[in-house]
Amino acid sequence: MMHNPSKVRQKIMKKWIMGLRSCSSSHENLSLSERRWIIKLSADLALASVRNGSRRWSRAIIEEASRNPDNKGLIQRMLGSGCDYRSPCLIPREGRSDGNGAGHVTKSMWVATSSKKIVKRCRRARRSNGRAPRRNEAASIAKRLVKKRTQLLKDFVPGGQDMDDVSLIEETLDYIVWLRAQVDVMRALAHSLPATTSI
Amino acid sequence: MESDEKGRIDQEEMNKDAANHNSAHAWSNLTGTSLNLAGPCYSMPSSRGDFMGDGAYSSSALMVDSFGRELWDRASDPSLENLGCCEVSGHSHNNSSLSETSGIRRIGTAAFRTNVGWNPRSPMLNSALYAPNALNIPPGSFCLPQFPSDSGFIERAARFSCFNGGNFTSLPNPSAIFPSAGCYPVGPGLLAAPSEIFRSNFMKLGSNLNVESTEDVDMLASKQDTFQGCPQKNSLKSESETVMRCDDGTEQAAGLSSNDSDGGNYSGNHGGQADTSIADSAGGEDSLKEVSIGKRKRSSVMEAGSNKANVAVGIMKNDSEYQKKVEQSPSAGPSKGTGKNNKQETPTSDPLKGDYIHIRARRGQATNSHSLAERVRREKISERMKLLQDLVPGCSKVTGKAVMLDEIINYVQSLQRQVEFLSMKLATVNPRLDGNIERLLAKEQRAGPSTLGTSPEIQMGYHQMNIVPPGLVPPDALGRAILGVQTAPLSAGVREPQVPHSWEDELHNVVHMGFSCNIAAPRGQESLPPDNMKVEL
Repeated sequence: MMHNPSKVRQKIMKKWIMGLRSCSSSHENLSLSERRWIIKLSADLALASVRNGSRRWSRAIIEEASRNPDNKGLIQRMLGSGCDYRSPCLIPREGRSDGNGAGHVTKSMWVATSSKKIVKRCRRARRSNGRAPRRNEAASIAKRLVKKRTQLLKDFVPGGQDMDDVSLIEETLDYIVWLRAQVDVMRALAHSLPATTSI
Repeated sequence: MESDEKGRIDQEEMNKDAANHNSAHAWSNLTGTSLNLAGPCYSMPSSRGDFMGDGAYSSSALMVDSFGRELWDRASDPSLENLGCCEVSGHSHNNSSLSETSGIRRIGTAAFRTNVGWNPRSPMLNSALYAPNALNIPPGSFCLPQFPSDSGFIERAARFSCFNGGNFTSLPNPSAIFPSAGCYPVGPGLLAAPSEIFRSNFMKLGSNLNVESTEDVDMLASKQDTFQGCPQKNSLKSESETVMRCDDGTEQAAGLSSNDSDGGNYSGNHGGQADTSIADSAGGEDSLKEVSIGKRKRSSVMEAGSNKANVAVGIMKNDSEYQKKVEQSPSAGPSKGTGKNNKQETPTSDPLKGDYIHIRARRGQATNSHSLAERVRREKISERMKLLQDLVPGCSKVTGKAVMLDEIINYVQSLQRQVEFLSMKLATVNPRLDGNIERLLAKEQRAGPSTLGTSPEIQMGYHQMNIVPPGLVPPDALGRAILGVQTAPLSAGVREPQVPHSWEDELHNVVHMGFSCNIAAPRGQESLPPDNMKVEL
């Protein structure tokens, strides 16, 4: 986790501003929404790069960003060359909903994912085949709720789609911590800058 | 007869009033009183022995129990011809020293003056006299003891075996009486002979254990002197835990008078075993009711008793051998999860484990490999949920996965919305971004490591958000977007103040920084030497 939060935040800030500056040449020409997009993207990428791809969500962020060809320049500038997690992610894989992470584990993950889906399907089929009336309604309701929310959480945490519960929670933990850092950085900047309008 | 019955009724009442007590008291009482019995009792053991020779351990245990009960009955009222024991179970937990002492007196009036004589001598028995309960058994047809569980008997036996060492010598012909009882009064003071006898009896008893608990037999037998390989990890694990606890609580158990009544609480006595023991004592009490599990528990408790007997002999030896056993029995597949070894007992088991991570089945829980893995997984998840609880503000009181997940989702959502909002806010800032940014960075770097804070910033930020955006709001389309983004952080802001207060120290710096930055900006942008900035950036 974060051992020195302030240093981490400084790192994020640096990287972010670096990325912003790399686009600043065309800053005035961009619309507000474009600017916003750039700001957010660079912030996300800064976060992910500081995390250095050791977590799935960071890799997923990078991969999602790299899917958009417009961002590639920014990504390359921000992340620099030689990021091994980057290149395999940039290769889009057909038949998968979203990126899974570093290339060297992608294939196995994909296999695991598909096998999990098959197992789930079988279980569902088996369950629907004339089950005895549920005795424990409360437990089943609770399970359903938990499942729903787990799915929601998977949608929120980048790269959390094909993860099991345990690692999902770990990812969420990490993601929350680093997300907070990102918010802090952005807020510090927003706070310190003069509030001048420019549209 | 009537007086006796009256006495018994009074005893009943007193026992009912008394709090639940150690069933070991009962057992020690039982053995104490029974041991003093003369000949008529001896015939029973033989018959019991035959019974014990039967296959089912449960039945044998029952018989042992009933045997004990019968002895009680006989002891309580020598005039009684039949053996009534049905109500004994009801009183097994109603001991109190008060009733016991009075019971002693009453017993003494019967045929137990001798008992009274030596009972007070033994500190254990003094506090643990069970005889009054025996007195309360109305004369009736003999029935099998209706224990809450069979294992309760074993636990009492085990306890008694450990605690009655002081009386051991005074008891006549203990071996004659307990060849098949399997429970031997083995006290700390007299470990040599009693332990041997105990072991012999134990072995005998162990041999009587049935198919279901063959592994227990091996466990028990081997536990005594030489350890054999325990084929079944399941029973091993469940017993091992109880064994562990027994060892830990030997000293505690020695002070019998204050012990709990139940065998279930038996393990709970051990202070060293934080949550597992508590959980298991709670679960153990429930499981005591189940015979099938009770068998294993019984054997485990008996083993616990033997373990106590061996305390002075050599507990380390037990530990090492036990560890070997742990190693031999393969756990549920390789590295299924965290090894929940008893830290006190098997500190050296980790290097012995090899590739396997040993997961111990807790007492009263299924020991199927699947369920073990399930449990490990569940525990992992709950661990992490606890971590998340600390992280997400306002979740300390929340229990349950669903609600926790809800909170987590909300928090993540709010954080993401904040990011979006801030990026939008920054986007509205003038394109003189670079200069300001550099200045900010430089100032921050100069200010020191802890420059960024949260909570005050958040509050400040929210205030500013309230004030500034209206000023910033450009065309309506964008304004709608800003407002839309704004509402989210505001709702999330309610939670934000709970964000870690450790950052509050930095907040003053940051706020100051921010303000100074804002103030400095209009004054002049040449305040910082350019090379300084270059170096820093």
